[in-house]
This record gives sequence, C-alpha cells and structure tokens, in this order.
Amino acid sequence: MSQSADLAHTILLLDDEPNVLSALRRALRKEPYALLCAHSADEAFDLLYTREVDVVVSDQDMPGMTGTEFLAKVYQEFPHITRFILTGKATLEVALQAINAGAISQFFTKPCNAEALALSIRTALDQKDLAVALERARQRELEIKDRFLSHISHELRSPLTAIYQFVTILLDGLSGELNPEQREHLNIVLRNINQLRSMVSDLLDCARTDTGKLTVHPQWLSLTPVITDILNTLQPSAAERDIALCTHLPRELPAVFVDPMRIRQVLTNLIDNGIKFTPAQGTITLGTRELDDAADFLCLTVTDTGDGIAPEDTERIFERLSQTTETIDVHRQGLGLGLYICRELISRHQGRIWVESQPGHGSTFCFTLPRLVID
Amino acid sequence: MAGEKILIVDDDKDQLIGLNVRLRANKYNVVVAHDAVMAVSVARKENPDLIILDIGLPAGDGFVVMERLRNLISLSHIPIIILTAREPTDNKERALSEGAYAFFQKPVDNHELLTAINNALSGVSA
Repeated sequence: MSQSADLAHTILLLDDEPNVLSALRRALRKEPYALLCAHSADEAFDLLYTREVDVVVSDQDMPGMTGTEFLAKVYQEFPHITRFILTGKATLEVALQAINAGAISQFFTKPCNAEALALSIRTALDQKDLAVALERARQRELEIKDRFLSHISHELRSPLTAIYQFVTILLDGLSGELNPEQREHLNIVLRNINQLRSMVSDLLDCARTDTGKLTVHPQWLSLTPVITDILNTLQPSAAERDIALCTHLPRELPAVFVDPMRIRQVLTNLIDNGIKFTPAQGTITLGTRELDDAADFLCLTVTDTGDGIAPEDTERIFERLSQTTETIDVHRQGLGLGLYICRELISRHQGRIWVESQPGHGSTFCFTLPRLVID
Repeated sequence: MAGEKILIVDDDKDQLIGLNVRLRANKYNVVVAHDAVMAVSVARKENPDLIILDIGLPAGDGFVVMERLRNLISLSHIPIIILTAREPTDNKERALSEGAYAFFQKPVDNHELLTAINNALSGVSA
C-alpha cells in the first residue's frame, strides 16, 4: 500500500474505508512525504514496527479498535510520533477523551479540509525538524566542550607531573637529606598536588557524563587486592587526621564484573570523603551487606562516624556540585563532583549507590556491583 | 635487576629530567629522546631494554614510534610503557592493542611506574 520513496518524512494514514484513505492521499499528494496507508489498527502497527513514521492520521470509528484506543497505544509505544485524529462525530466528549488518552495533537472533522490537514502536518513536522536540529546543535556543543576540557586537562597535567616528580624526588631524599620541617612542608605540597590531580580528573569525568563518553570496561575481578591497595594508599591521610580505617569483610569476596580503574576511583572517593568529613578519632569501616532483593549483586558499604547527612540531602549529594550549604561553609573541599561521578560510574556497572544516615550518627554509603553467582 | 637501559621519550624537558633522576636513583641507565624521529634513532643506536614513551610528540606521535619500532626486527621485542597526559578513555585501549606493555596517565604514582618497569623487565606479563 505504501508509496515508497526516499523522502524525509513519513505519514501513516489509517482508515477502514478505502475511499477516505484515497481522499487523504489525494489531499497530501502534493506534499513531499512518503505516505503509508493502513485499513486496520493491526496493519498500522505492522507498518509502525517496520518503518520510521513521523505522523499518524487515524480515523476514529473503526471496527475492532477506536482511533482513540489506537492512538493511545501508538503514544505508549512511539511517543515521538505526532498523532492526528479524524472523526465524523466530533463531540466534545470524544475530543477530550482522545486528547487525554492518546495525547492527540489535533482533531479533524470529516470530511476534512485538505489544506488544513496538510498545514497541520507541515507545522508538526517543522517542529520536529527544529527539535532535531536543536539536539544536533546541543551534541555539537557538548563535543566542543569535551574537546576543550580534554585539552585543558592535558595542559594542566603536564606541569602537575613535573611538580609531582620533583616534590617526590625531594621527599625521597634523592637530591639530599631533608630536615623534618622541610619534609613536613613538602608533604603538604604533595597532599595538595594529589587534590589537584583528582580535581582535574573529576572535571573531565563530569564533562564526559554529558557526552556519553564516561565509559567503563568491566572484567571479572577479585576485589580483595584492590581494597587492600586502596586502604594502604589512604592510610597516611587517615592517620594524619587521626581516623581509623577498618574493614569488616567476609574472608572471601565473590568476583565482581567491574572496571578495575573505575571501581578503585569509586572506593577511593567514598573513603576519602569519609576521611574529609569525619572528625578526629573517628572510624571509617569498609564492609559488605546481604541484599535480599539483589542476589546477583555484591553490596559494599563505607560507614563513617562523621556528622551524618540530613534526610533532605541524601538524594541531592549525588547530584552535580552538590555540597550542602553548611558543608561549604565548614569544610569546603574539592569540587563537589565526586559523588555525582561515583553514581554515574556505578550506574554504568548496572549497580546503584545510596546513602543511609542519621544526622549526628555518621553515614553509610552503599553501592552494588554485579557479582559472580555460583549455584 | 639493576643496570638495564631505559629510553625515555618525552618532549617536556622538566619531566624528562624528573624521570631521569627517579630512574637513575633506582639504578637504571637512562637515555632520552624528545621527538618521534629521535626516539627511533636513539632506540636503534642504544638498543634499550625498555622504552617509556609519551604520545604527544613532535615529528609524529607515540603511536607512530611504536609502529616504527615494531617494524624493526631488532627492536620489536622491547617492552614499551606509555606515559602520557592524554586521556586513557581515548588512548589506552589503542596503545595496549598496538603492543604497549602498560599505559599510565601522568602524573603516575612513582611506585606504580617502577613496579610496571620491573615487571616488564622481568618478563612478567602485564
């Protein structure tokens, strides 16, 4: 039934009466569209599943299924398709029902005015084209932003590398012995270099969540050595703030399907946050939890004895630039992108992340990772 | 273990000096090159045991250097560690698939780099 052509837009016409269909085709003959015709809802769905359709024009009174019902289904399955209805009896009631159920764009009474229908279709398609153009422009802008940030990150990393190299050369005594005061000062420099380094990474990761370039490359991995390594790395900064790092883990952790670099990033970020926001003599505990509703996932927990998070903030902290007003005043540190990136990374592993907290009693950050299940 | 010769290829002079100090302190012999052409000629002349290679280089890039070395039978076996300020997202997979032993983004932790060098020289697979 279709007039196939390589035209930009495709219109699907549905009516059980062949003469109405012919009239519609004649009405739209001069327009640059590919026209598809269907005599029943089933036939229309066959076409919708196989062809890219932009606009559907459906009759209201058909055997089997009304136009309203048909368009409501179209709306459910193909929400991007613009929907018009044609009816012989355009009562207000029918109109309202059609608009509510099928989110119809416009209503036409039979016999329909060919010019009005053509104009409405043209307007709807123009709107669509505009939306597509806007989306393309947005993508282009994101690409440019991404390239720009990649460039900046590269440029920032070069001097940072030289600074790191020479500070560690000095600290390791490779250019002479240091007195304790010099050592202490250089350790402060090193700590700040590491902060700067993670900020550069976070900034770029954050930009990449927009362009869909924040990717993960999962593989089966045993977490135990990763955890040991992270704890060893973070031990000095915890000790410096008089905070104990503990683990409460089962003897054997199941293998998980994760990107090793990214999971290290998430865990480091969560523990590092704990260290930042926990007062001296506090404890940060890395543990696991059994989840009844997610047997295919390993749930890891990072619990601190800090000030906790107010209930209204437990969702918000995972959003971009979200350090709450109070923490900005008290201990503003970092960019506030860490948890947002953690959430993005965990969701790319099909896991989820959340926080449980009682203000004054610390917080527990929980996240799930796909695990190996042995029956 | 000590005494092996390492070629560092980097166009950033400060980083070249820094890495040179670090590697010498760990008892390696160091030779350096600061562009893609020089990298290959120094490699031919010095026949190093390992190459630390930047990607962004004048006169070609790290990938070009890797390809040229691979095509020289006498040098094709030398393990190459990529050390770059560029993003792993865009480059790591490619570098490893084209034969690099390891990929690190700058600034890399000294211990991590030294471990990788040691492993590469002992023939531990990456």
